[in-house]
Amino acid sequence: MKKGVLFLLLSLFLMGGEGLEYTLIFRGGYRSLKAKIGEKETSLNLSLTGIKNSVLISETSEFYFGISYGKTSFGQELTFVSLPISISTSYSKPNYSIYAGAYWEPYVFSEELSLVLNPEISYSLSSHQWDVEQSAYLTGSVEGKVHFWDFRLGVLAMYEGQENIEPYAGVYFDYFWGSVKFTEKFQDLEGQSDEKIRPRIPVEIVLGSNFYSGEHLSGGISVGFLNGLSFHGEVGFTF
Amino acid sequence: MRKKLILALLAVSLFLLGAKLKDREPNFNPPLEEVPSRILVKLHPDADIKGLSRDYGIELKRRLLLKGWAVFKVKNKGEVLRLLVSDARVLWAEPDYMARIADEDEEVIPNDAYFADQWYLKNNGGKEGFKKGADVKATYAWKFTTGSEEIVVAVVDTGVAYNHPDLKGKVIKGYDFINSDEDPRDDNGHGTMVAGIIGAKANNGEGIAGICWGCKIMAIKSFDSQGLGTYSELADGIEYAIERGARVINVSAGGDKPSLVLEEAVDRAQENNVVLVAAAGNDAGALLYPAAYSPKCISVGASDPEDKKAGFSNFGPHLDLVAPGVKIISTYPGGYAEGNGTSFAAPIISGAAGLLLSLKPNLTPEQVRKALIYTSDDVNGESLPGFDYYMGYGRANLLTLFQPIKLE
Repeated sequence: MKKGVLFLLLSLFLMGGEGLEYTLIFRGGYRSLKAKIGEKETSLNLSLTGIKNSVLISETSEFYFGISYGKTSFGQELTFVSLPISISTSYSKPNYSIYAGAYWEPYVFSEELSLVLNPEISYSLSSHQWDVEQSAYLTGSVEGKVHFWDFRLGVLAMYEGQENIEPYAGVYFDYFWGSVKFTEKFQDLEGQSDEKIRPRIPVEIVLGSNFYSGEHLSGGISVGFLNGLSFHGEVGFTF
Repeated sequence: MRKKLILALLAVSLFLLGAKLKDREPNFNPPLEEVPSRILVKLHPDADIKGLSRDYGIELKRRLLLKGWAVFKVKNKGEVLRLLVSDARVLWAEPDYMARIADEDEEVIPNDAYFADQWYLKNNGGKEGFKKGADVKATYAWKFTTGSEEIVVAVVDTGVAYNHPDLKGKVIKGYDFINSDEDPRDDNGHGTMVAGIIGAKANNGEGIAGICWGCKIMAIKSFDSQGLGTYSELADGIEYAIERGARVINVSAGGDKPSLVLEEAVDRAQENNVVLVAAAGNDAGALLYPAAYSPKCISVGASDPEDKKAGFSNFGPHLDLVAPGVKIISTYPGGYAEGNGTSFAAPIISGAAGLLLSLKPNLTPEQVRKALIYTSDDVNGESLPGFDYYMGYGRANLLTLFQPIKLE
């Protein structure tokens, strides 16, 4: 948690430049991504809560980055047989993520409708160690590590004809890559399995809306589907 | 007599306890499908149960919560069922079938005729001198794999009867170092027994089930019709198997003397990612070579049907583990035979290693050895907890070897 506070202070310091408008956003959500872990088809589930800092660079561009804390789990119990002693787990352990992205309006169709591009990159890391006492000799530990990068590029059509509400719809190209690694050690028997994480459907359809209440308070919700299911909500305070 | 180092070889191995051919009828008992002496009856709402019981000599055991249904105890089930279905008081009658939970411990029970006699794979007890569960639990391992054709287990022995019905099509002909030809036919019987334990065809309704029944067997003859050979022939057999791509080599043989040529052959196996399994010997004395070269190989002693050390099994600080080695039924030229010896314990471990490599082909010989010993049952742990010279780490347990550890 201390790291999180330091990160927040650092981001405020970096973004609080004179003349720039920046927003501190509290964000929560859930993503269930259709994935392949090695040859196993499953979903990779991520719950997350965190903070995001956003800075308006110009009329048509905004940059953000943030951190989040949550839980990583597999859609079902998976068995990892390449280890000397197989293990099975649905994982479900804490994870940390960092991410950065931007909103850019390269094209305005009309006063009400604009095209927004949203590139974003994130990195998630989760690790856990289990102590195992399976039988007289099978005693030791298993260490698990799930980490992956996720690059998303969204093309959104945003309706800006209302004062306080900004609905949008769009498509995200969503590609993630990483690995699930287990290292086991039972007495002097050691083994490791390292299986790649890949998406099964690298495209996400997103529907959402931003809300504004006065100059300083904003919010947003979004739902994504096709490559799984995701939903996010956020509340922002602009300074 | 050859002027060579004569191995105490298969004397090691075996007392092919009455290597008599078996010509018995299969006695495989399939699992029960129906509860004996019990039927389920759906009664007409106005039926007189007492009258029905009296008329057919059946006894009401209980009524089901499901309306109209009752369980009856019967003597002549088939006949009573036939009569009941035409009785006006009865709407339906059927056997009370067996059901089972689909839990993770589900087994694979092959339909081979002599499977019930293969106590070393699944020991149901029930006979004097046989303890239920004193087995390697192969039936549980088969849920995970029955072996891959990619995995070749070499049998460096007296050859293999490769036309045996339970082995035909599974044997790769290697080399005959006794007669210097390419026909490693078995003229003793020992090698055929070893091969059958490792990889006889299974689920074919006849004979026995090998442990790694999906694996291939490579037949290499380094011992003659008397079960005698030399270190040079044994070393050549091992090297041949390494060069021809075997992943496991079974050596149910050995000698009393250490030897550089034998040690180098064992080293070569390990360096080339080949698991070498060797029998401890049957003299109730020190381990034979190459078994005594453990941990470069896996040394295997014998246990009996009560999970005790077989009296004849050699012992010592280099003994890794034990596997059943008493009253072991296997293929034999012209039929099937039963034998005793660490010769027949070693192929159980070779078969287990073959299964493990079928599922996990990237494991090293050292990982295979450690996985086998650390998943074994410390069956003499009450008197000698942990590793001991007599049973090593314990009796192999393929359920523990293959069952994944659940991490919450």
